[in-house]
Amino acid sequence: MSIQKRFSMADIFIYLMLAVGSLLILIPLWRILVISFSSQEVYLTDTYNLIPKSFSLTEYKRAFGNIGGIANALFKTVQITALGTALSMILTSLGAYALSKSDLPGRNIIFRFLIFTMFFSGGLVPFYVLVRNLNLIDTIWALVLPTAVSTYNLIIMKNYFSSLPPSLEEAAKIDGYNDIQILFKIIIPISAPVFAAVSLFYGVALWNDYFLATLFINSNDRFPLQVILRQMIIQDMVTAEVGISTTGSNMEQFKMACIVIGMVPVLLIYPFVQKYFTKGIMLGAVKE
Amino acid sequence: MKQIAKYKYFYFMLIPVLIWYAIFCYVPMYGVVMAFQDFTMSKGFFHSPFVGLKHFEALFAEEDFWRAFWNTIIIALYRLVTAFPIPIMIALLLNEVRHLKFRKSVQTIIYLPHFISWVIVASIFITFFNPESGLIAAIFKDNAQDILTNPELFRHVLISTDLWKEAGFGTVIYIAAMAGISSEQYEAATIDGAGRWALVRHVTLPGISGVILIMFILTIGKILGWGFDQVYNFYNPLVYSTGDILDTYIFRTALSDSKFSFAAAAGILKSLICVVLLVGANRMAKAMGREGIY
Repeated sequence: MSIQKRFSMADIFIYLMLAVGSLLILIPLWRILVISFSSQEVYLTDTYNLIPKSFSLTEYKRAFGNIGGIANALFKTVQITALGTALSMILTSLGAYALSKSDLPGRNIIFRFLIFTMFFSGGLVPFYVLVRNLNLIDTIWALVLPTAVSTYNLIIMKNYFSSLPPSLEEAAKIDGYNDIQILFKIIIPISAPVFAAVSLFYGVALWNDYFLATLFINSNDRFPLQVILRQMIIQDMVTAEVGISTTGSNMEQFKMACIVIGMVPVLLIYPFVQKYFTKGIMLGAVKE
Repeated sequence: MKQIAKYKYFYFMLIPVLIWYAIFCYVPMYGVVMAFQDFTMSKGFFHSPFVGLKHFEALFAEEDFWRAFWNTIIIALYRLVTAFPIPIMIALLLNEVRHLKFRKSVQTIIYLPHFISWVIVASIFITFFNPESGLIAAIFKDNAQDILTNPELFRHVLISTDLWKEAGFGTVIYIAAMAGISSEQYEAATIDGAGRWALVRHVTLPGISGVILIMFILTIGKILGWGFDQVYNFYNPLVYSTGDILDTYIFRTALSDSKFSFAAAAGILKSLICVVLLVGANRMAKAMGREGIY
């Protein structure tokens, strides 16, 4: 109905606000990108560095030439993300599917057992002591096991499974499938949207983690990318950790290239999954 | 028994996740005991001596604890009045956009920063605000000041970067709720002569009020634990006076000073306040005749 109407003052205001908001988000990201690909001469003479005037891969070559262990850390991060996402999805989807059966005896008690952890936790110190006592320190398991299940994600999946028509399973039962076969042959294939969305949430959290790695990893060559970035930029420990000088302006450019390497993989995947953040998936989690 | 046998496969599916919860969520809860002990790694839970409320008394006598406590409350309230309503407003704006391509592009852009880690967001803004080489230096020239080490500005830095990163993604839930309002309601109101603003006030807002309330209760419940990753990556000793929060305080005392029991006491106190706030908010919702979260 409003399509036929012409642009009103209100429309101008709305479009302007949203456009300005989007620009505010894009500019800092854009500037990082431009600087990381600029040649050193252009970077030093350009005040704003907002319009790309040169194209150079020097800093990326340095990063992948393994200065500061960037390539190694990237490889570790990929490993952590792959292992962690697989583990999280197995635990979460199996549990969520079982809990989606409303007539399962004991379901409500089990569900409260899980929900309670969203509101009360023992805190950081006992958690740290636990992981140490399990002998996970300095292993990849310390980065994927302690946060393997997110109750929020589990609720999202449970509600999605609950919304599937029961007739599907009844038909499969008549064909002689047992409950595990039904899960793998019927349920999983039609649950791609929720698997995509929840895998993304888990994957991004694993890719972005620096906290567990700071707590539990001691060996420099086992640090994921985020920890290296933190040391290099936030703690400015470049000289100590990486062994190259912080002076010289192309250190700035090198940092920017590393920032891009640290965020681009996630940003490339996310738009493909965005369409699955639909009504059913997102609302399910709050309504429980 | 027959019932349980019928569901045996479902119980098998539940076993791994239940074991995980028992180990990683419930075992640390037993660690509450630590706060009442003089805990050392070598003696463990079972052999560390009990000392009663010693650590809580020490905590209450500690100035840094109170500083962190009040900073947490002030920053949390500041966030509550900004980071909570702003996504609702953005969602209302987006809901008015009929140009589908524009709408999708804005959504893709404003969700984007949610997926970037706080390490990287902090890195971006640290380089951005660098008074010598950042964009801020290019704009303000010699008047550029170092925003990130100024205690008076630090809370504003936290709020604005939090909005930059999360305000867009925060709209997802409200946009989903708005998609659930039937178009008949809009049509009926339009026939009754409702203008655009009236539609927002009398159809859209009431349609999402349930979700707003639930989000509000959930926000209250996590308010004291809000923003560790952000503060930890942005702060430095120069801004502890306005920026140090309970979680960062606990983190520093536990790990750099190895005061395990002392930090555990602070952690328990925080957890307890969170539960009280959550239960309180839920009661309030129910007293108002609305659906709570449990």
